[in-house]
Amino acid sequence: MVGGGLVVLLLLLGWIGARETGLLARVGLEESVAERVLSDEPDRATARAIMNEIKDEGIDTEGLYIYVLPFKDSSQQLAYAVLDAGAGFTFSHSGEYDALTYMLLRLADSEAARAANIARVAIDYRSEAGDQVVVITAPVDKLRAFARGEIGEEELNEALDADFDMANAYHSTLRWIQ
Amino acid sequence: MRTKLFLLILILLFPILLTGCSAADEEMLNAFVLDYIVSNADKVAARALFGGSGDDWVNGVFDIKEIMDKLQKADKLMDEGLQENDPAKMDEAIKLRPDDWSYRTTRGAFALGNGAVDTFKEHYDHANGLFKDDDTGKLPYLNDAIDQFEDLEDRTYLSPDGPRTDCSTLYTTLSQLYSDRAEMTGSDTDRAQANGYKNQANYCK
Repeated sequence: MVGGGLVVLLLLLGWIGARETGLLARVGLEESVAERVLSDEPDRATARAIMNEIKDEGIDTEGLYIYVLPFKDSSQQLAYAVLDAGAGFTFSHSGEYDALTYMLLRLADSEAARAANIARVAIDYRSEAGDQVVVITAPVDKLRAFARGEIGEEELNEALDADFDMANAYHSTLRWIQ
Repeated sequence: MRTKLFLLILILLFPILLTGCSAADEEMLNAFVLDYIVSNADKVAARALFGGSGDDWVNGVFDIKEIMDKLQKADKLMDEGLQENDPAKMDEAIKLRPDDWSYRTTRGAFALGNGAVDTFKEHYDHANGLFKDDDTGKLPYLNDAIDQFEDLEDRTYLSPDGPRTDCSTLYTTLSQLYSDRAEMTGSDTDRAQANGYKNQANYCK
C-alpha cells in the first residue's frame, strides 16, 4: 500500500519535473509556453512600419529583424527584435539613452507600436556564431512611463526580465578553467 | 547563502558568455547583464531554480526561439525566392508554414504574374479558406493582398517586358478583395473600387 503510494508520488513528481523543465513540450506531448501564449501568425505590416520608423531615424538596420506576434486570447501584441551580430548587427545608437534602452524604447514608443496595441517588447541578441546570448523583455507601459520621465532607471530595471544561457555559461567556465 | 554564491559565480563568469560580439557591444551587454543580475537577484534565482517566472507572457518570450527560428528560416526562403524568381524556394517556405496567408498571397501573385493561373488559384483559395467571413483577422490579409495584386497590376501594365498576367483573373481577384473589405469595413470607396475592377475584368474578355 505504502509502496503504491510512493510510486504514484514519484510519477507525479516526475510529471511535474518533465513539465516544468519543458521536456514534455520538447517531445511534443505538450504545447510549449510560447505556443500556448503567442500566435505564430506575425503582424508583418506593423513590423515593417516599426522598422521604417527606425530607418527614418538614420539607424543602421543591418542584422536587425523585427517581428510582431499577437498574444493569444488578447488584442495585445509582442514586438520582438532579433539583433543578429552574425548578419552584421552592431549597436549604432548614441544619445540620451544607452543603445539597449534605446532599442527597447524605439520598439515600445513608436507610432506603429501604439497603433498596433503592442503591450510587451523584447530584444534577442545573437552572437556571430548565431547563439542566443541574451533576451531582454519589458512591458510597454513601463518603457513609455520611463520615456515620459514618470519613473526612473531603477524602476525600469525592476520591470525588465532577462534570460541568458546558463548551460553555455557552465560549459564556458569549464573550458576557461581547463 | 546558496543563492548569493550562485549569483557571485554568475557575475564572475558572465563576461566569458559574450563571445562573438564586437568589443563595444560585448562591454555594453556585460554591463547590462551584471546590472540586471544585481538589481533582479530574485528573478535570476527564480529562473535558475524553477526555470521560469510567474508571468506566462514573459515565459512565452523566453521560450520563443524555436518559433522565431522557423519563422526566420521561412521568411528568408520566401525573400530569396522573390529576389531570385525561384518558386521552388517559395514553395519550401510554404512547406514550413503552410497556413501563412502572406506567403500564399505572395506565391499566388508570383504565379499569376507568370501565367500559372491554376497555381495562383490553389494559393489564393488556400489563403481565403483560412478565414471566416466575419473574422476580424481577415482585414490585414485583405490589405496585404490588395497591395500585392495592385503592385502586380502596375508591373504588368507599366512595362512591355512586365509579368504575363491573366487580365481577367487579376481584375476579378482585385474586385473580390475590395468587395470583401467593403463588407468588413462598410467603406463606400472600397465598394466603388470593387465595381471599377469588375468592369475592368469585363473589358478583358
